[in-house]
Amino acid sequence: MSELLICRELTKNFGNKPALDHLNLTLERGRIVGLLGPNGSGKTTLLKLINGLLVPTEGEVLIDGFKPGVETKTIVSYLPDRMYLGNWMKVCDLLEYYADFYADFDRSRADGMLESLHIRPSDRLRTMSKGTKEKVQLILTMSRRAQLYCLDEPIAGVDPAARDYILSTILNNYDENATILISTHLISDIENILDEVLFLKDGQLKLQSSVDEIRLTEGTSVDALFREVFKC
Amino acid sequence: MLKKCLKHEWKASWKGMAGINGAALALGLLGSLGILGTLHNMRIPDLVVVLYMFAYIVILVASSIVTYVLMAGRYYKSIFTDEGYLTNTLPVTSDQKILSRFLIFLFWGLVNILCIFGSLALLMAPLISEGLAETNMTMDIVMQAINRAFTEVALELGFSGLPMMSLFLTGIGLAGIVYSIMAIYFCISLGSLFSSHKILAAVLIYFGLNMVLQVITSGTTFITGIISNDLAGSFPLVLLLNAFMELALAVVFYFINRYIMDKKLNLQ
Repeated sequence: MSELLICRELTKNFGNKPALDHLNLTLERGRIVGLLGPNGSGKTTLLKLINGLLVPTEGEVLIDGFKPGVETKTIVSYLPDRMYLGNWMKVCDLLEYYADFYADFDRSRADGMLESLHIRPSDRLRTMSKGTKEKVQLILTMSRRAQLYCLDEPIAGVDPAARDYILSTILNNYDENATILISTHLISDIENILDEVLFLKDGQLKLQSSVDEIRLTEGTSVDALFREVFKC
Repeated sequence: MLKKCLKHEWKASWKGMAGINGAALALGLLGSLGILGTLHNMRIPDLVVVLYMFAYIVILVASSIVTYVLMAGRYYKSIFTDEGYLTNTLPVTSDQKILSRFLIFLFWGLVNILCIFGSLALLMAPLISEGLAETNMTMDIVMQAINRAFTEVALELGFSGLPMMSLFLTGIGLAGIVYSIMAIYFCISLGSLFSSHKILAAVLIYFGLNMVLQVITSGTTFITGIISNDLAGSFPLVLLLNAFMELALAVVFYFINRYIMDKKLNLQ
């Protein structure tokens, strides 16, 4: 089965307002996919539904054939759009935490990335800048040998130099059978690494296409197409 | 996985818990040394004694409150706030998440009771020792007298002896703690379903729940007393009925917690 993620009529309402509206979507393995859309288009909601942090109002989401649960959480690595680690923890505590709970956590990969970014295992999160904390979170997420990575705004809070490092980290560390779903507004920064893009608008899928196809048929970059489609 | 959950819950909680309970023990020891000094003609200013007594009472009461508040806060924070993004994406079941937190809470709840009694025992030790010396009595004689008095009470209440009554009361106490923890978890989980003011909602639900339970408990005490026509004699039966009710509610609360975590979780 090459389909890794299937959404069928996936709907999530907050009160009367639909955040996702009968979304149908299939993602294959081995793709780096940009999840793009303006604010409030449902990107974060979709990632939360995939990770079981929200319960769908209607429809279903399947990851490797399973609804979000223990089976899917062993193969999905998620980076939320916020700080989710306990401030009292040291980096070494987090490494132990991830190694204990995730069988696919590659400790040597994490150690290597921490060393490259000059983050010591004895450092406590409380003493770190926001950008450094985000780097730690990304390192932990990308140090798993997962099948699906869900990255919600992974480069929004870090400096441009670290951004390049992070993008090369994403590229170098993912397995060719794994799929990475990246939600971001910084399209031009990640465009070069994307295989495919999803445009979301008002909780619905506006476009699903490969980056090559966009360049061929539209004769434009993803960034330019995004600006055109979502022009205010 | 439960073992790993327990390990990390322990790591997240032990410093705060050891600190507050250690402080209760340390203040007991300090008081004990002060009393010992006074008995050996050491002069301690009255202001220091008053301040010490105030601090001691505050720390004993606070150790219980802080134990419950910190452990309840840990449950809320690790599951229903930003930290929940990690907790709820771990490949562990809701049972493992609830049970690990419950067992660590129960452990610290029991440690807190032991520390309060230990602290009081430390504080009283020099006075008891002095009293024994003045009256030419030994600890054995005092213990035998206490044993006799409590055995009489036990027999009066219909127990076969003091060990049976002790076991019974320990069980009743444990049921009360189990209920309290599950009730707190239940209120936090229900509070999380509100779109805003989740903590306030949880606190209000908690007080409401306890008020309802108080009314039911008073009712069962009254009715059992009337039926048996012997209020003192019916005391163990009332306790037993209440303990069963608490345990039954704890089980119901557990399943509701699990249901909310599995089917109603909405981290926003």
